[in-house]
Amino acid sequence: MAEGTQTPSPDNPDEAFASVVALRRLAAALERSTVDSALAQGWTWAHIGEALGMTAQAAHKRLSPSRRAPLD
Amino acid sequence: MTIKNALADIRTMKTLFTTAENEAAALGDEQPGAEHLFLASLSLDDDSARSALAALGVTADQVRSGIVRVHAEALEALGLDVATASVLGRSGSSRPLTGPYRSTGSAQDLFQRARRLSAADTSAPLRAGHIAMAAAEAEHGTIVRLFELLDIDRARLASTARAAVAG
Repeated sequence: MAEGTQTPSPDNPDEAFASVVALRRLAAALERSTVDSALAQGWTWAHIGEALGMTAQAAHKRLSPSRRAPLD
Repeated sequence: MTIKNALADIRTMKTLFTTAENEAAALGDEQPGAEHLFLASLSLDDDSARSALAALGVTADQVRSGIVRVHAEALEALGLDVATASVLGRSGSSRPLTGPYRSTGSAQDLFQRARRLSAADTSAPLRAGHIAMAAAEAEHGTIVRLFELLDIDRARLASTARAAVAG
């Protein structure tokens, strides 16, 4: 972490939760972008899952670009 | 509640949640939260939320950029590069939105509070202003930080929204 910054204290829940929410958004965005890049570079879902600590099936189910199926 | 009002509420709900999903996706969020539902209320044909906010000198565009700013400031406080973070969010906005509506608990809570407010309001149909009134009741979370960032006094928003709905 850069000099002059610090992790918000849990003793200030509003500030700390704001950081949690912002970091979650950043993590989700980084994950989506990286999956797209990985797929474009020829990564398999097995490798993506391995990198993320999950099975290929779990990775595909959660992160596939077309993960929202239309209603029948 | 009359059948006519119930049908109107269903139409309003569909428009609100569809718009909230689109706004969330455009801002890099996977699911709409209360802040996106509030933003969506500002684009309904019913202008009660828009006029309530205009009475406080705030526009929908300011709300939209405010949502981005709230998260950016939280990341900056952690020493993270906001410019890089915004680039990373680009992939979230281009995915096709199909299937059932998705939303966070905060969006659902906001909607349910708005419905209770409209039901208490002589069983009138759900208005955009009821969403604004419900948003003004929030005590924590992104929407509260958004209001602080935009200098929106929640009590005043509730008051102007109530007036807009009654008008």
